[in-house]
Amino acid sequence: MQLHYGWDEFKNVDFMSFLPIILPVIAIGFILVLIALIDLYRHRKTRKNILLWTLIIIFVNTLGPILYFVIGRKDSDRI
Amino acid sequence: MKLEIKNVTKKFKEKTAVNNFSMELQSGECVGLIGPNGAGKSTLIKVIADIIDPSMGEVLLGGKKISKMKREIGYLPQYPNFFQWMTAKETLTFMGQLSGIKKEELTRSIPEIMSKVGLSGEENSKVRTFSGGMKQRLGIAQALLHKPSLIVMDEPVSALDPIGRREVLNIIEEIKKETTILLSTHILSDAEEICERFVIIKNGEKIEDTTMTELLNRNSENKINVDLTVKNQEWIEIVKSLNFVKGVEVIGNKLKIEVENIELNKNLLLASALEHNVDLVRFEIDNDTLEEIFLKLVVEK
Amino acid sequence: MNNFTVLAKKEFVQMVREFKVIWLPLVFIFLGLTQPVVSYYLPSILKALGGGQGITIDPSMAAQKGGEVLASTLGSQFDQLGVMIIIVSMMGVVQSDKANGMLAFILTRPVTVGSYISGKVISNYLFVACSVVLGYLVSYLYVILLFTRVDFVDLLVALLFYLMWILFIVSFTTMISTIFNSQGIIALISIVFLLGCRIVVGLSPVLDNVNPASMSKHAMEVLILGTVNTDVIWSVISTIVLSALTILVTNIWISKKKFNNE
Repeated sequence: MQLHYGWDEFKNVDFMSFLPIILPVIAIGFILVLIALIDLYRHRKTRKNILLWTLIIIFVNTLGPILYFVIGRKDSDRI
Repeated sequence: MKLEIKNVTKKFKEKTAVNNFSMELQSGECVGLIGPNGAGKSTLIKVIADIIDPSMGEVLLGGKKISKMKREIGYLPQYPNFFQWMTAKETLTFMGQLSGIKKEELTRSIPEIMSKVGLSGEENSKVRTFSGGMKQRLGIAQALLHKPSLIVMDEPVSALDPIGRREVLNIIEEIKKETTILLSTHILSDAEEICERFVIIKNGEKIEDTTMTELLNRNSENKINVDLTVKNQEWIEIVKSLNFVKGVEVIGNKLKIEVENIELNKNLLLASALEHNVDLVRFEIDNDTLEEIFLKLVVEK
Repeated sequence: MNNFTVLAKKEFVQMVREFKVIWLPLVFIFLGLTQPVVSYYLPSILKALGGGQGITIDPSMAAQKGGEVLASTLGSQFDQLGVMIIIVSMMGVVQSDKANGMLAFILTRPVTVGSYISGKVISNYLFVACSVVLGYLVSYLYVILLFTRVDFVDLLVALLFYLMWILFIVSFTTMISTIFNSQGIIALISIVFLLGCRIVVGLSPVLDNVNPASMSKHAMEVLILGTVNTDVIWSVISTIVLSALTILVTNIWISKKKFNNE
């Protein structure tokens, strides 16, 4: 049984019909990432672990930005 | 309005922070609550500001329970902390509205109060960017905003640097004319500067309630300090021979002269000094400083 | 303006400043999108990958009804990740005020504990509910685009049921946030308890009647079957009672000034 699937197999799927439906999903994920990054950049002086958060925001799909908004924004509110 | 603290006791799990504390504050008075760290000052202040309930006793303002009179109290916490994301103006608007002040009135009174505490120009800066002194001033502004008849301040200047301290003391000096003030501090010179009356608290109990002059008089000894430019052995001998002088202590150019009665003898001594053309630098009644009195009270009692 | 509106307005301003007003609805829209899209494409992806190599695809999968997909948006997206995100976004709702002394500070003003709590709960509930509704509507649009239509009345009834479950989530998290002092513990307790509630749904009919999470089950049933189970009335009552109870506990806790743990 073949375990690895190459790009060829995907050709069977009609990507053009995918696109309009998938696009909003990608767009929303992208907006979340963007807002999180903008916020991180604006407060770069008061935040800790900026590099770590940047990586989390970009690479942890969807959950990364959420994680940042919930936990990452907090540390600057402390005194 | 008269503030009455009646037999207030506050117990925490293992220790009693405030023990059977009573005092009265007349309208217009300014009282300093003094005590070493951990004496129960903050707890007492919090009981008065109705943040914590006393285990026993009660606090009355104008004869009514303090919890019914919140509108009449302005409270400044030890470390005033505001919502970091608000601007100074928003903070004051928020606190003002919670005190039931109308919006139109706030638009008028906020700039007024901001300039009073020296924050004009900072209306639209975020509290996040404020320094400790600025926060303290914002704290004072919010405590004054609703024109309370009693202002309670917990260590208003302790956490500030000398400049911030001076600014805040000046503001307090200013508002003292209009309201009753109760402030706590562990730094005596601050209290000395603003308040006429002191209440000293130790281990949760009131150990002294007095005015500054009374305290100083009570603790003064019959000694006069005299500083000279050069040591004048001749005059020292003359002083020693005076009949009201009980003893002379000489430390370099400084003399410490003990007399029988300070009121009657101090001018005679001065006259003698002038008569013999003594080059005086300083001539004063030897008082214990408040610091020393405070230490004595707190350590001994 | 009375104190309630002042405090509620402050909550909304805070949500705007913290971008919560953008990201929470977006997250729910994302969750709402995911289920229909995945359900729709999973069979064809599997088929494309599997080719003729023996992975059989259940033909019924391709023929899912719209109501079923929308129900699984509620059941497998909102009830899991969604609930967790609501809790995590709300864990500091009272706790942060306690931690920085604002709660004590606010209460030195002539503010009743009731108006403080109602300001918190109502503003947060309205906002979370709007986010859920948005996600739900987007999910609905995708469902009618990719699957079959869903009856509009069923849609609304299910939504209404689901929002009652959200009410309990919000009030419960507020209570936990009032009682405990560490955000981690608040999140942990709330997530374990609320997801626990959701998991035990369906085990026993008696338990379901007093379990606010069964509102979610009733919502799903409306979407799948198109009928309302008469037991729902018990769940509605118990959800309202339990939500009121959590708010009452919060009120008592703050009134007794236990938050001042010095």
